[in-house]
Amino acid sequence: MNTSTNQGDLISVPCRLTLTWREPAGLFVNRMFLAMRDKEELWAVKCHSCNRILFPPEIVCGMCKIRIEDKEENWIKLGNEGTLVQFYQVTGSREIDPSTGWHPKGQTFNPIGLIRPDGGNEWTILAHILEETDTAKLSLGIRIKAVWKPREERQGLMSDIKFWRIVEGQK
Amino acid sequence: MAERVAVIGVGQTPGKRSRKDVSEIELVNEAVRAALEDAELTIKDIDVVIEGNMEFFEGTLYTDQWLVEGLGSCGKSGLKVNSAGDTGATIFSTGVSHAASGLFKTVLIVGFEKQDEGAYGGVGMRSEDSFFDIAGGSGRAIGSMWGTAISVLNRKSATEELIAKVRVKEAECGLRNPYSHLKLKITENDVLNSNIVIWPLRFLHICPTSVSSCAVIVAPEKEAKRLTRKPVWVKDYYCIHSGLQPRCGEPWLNVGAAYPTGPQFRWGVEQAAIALYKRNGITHPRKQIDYIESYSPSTWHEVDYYEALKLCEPGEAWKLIEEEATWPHGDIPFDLSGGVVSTNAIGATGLHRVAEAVIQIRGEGGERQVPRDVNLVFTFAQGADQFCTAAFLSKNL
Repeated sequence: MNTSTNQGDLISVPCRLTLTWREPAGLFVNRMFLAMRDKEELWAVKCHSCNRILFPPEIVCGMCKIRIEDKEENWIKLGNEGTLVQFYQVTGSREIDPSTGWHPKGQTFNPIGLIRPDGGNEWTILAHILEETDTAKLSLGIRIKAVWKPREERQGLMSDIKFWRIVEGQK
Repeated sequence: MAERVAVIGVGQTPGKRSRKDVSEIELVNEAVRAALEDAELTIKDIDVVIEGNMEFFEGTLYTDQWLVEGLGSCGKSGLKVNSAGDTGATIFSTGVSHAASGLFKTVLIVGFEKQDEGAYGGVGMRSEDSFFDIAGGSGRAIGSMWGTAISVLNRKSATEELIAKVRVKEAECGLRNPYSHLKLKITENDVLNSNIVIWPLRFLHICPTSVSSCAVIVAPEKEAKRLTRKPVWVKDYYCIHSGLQPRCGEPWLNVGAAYPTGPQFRWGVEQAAIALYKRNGITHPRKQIDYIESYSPSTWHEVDYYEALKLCEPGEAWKLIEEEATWPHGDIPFDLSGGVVSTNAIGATGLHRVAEAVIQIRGEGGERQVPRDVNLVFTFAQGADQFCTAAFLSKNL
């Protein structure tokens, strides 16, 4: 039973809701995740009407509104290396969650990279964690590579890639 | 439109951080009564009630049911709409469509958000993708604002200093608007030194979390002319979904920073403007439009939209700022209400834009009134679900 709180003469009731659910990945994303889990491979699909290479793979091209058939010629294997096209780091007063007051001030967050894996085109953007926390060492256009978790820890999720590491030896 | 439609009444509650003194029912009823009073009608004169908010931001589902007494909707036709930040504009276009259909005489449109009730956090997380959530919370609205900010900076459309200048303009306008939530007396230095959230996005660039309700009454031409001496005409509206970005993880909102269609929101706003300009013979928007009331959730958005709305050439928003063209004394005043960075009660925010447009056309803006005749106003909103709804309101048919 909820307990009302009386602040001055204004009465309000605290409420709490806990929800759990399961969501299926769907045909194309399932195939993509299995390849990540079992082979350390990233797969996208190509719309042969507009040539956009879509990651995550979708069954319909949103722009052309045509079905992308589940045929081998429509699947594009992306590289485990790619180019950093944009990045950001949450530095300070990240959004306060008003329902919990959660406010992780002082924490250092890994930057998030917007990554174009090799084999993709301008429409192929993957958002993922960067290993390097010093943003002075990051710049647009640098080469980065996926660092995968060991096979036994991979579950068929985006987190099967631990993070993306700067490729050594580049100018 | 089958029938030409006019706004015949507007009402809004002053924006606040918290309204512990009222329930949701009482909050929306304040706006409903204000709009009815403005239109010199009673709830008995209303045929349709269209209601909208970011459902579940208050932890409440079926707001149309819970609020029925406050809305006055029992026994009437209507709809409930939720389209994220665009909600207020979507309910407006929905209401206008009802009026334009010729089936109804009066349509009451009500948007609200009572964000002091505090369920936003959980809902915000759930609006991300279960499979591609990587950053765990840094996306959402903040991520979208960062995407726009970095894009504006990279295009050299404005510097951080010029953004601070615009933010001070927005704050000064907010001080003149009695309905504004934030009443900030700030300097450019205050803005430049405020906390970095995600560089170059700073705390003071970002809209607040507000409580407010807004109500607008529309009617087809014959009824509007019969009921009011001060109709404001809905010249045209356009709604577009611009969801082209990939669900690339929790920062899907951010991906636009590196995507060919540009930062989130921008493409939809630009497409809506292009379509409405074409349909209404607007070839020189800066000269032909008298006032713009926008849904700019951050100062960076306002500046980004100068270009999306073709008020200047691409990459030249800085010129408008240096000239103060979008200031009250400028040639294309922009967000003299103080804008969304001064008040953001999400489900009401899009409708606040319409209400402010009506107030400006009627010349009832008081201290925030555009200091010259206002005949044609462009107003729009957009939201995280990537709907954008834009409208032209005019003094004359």
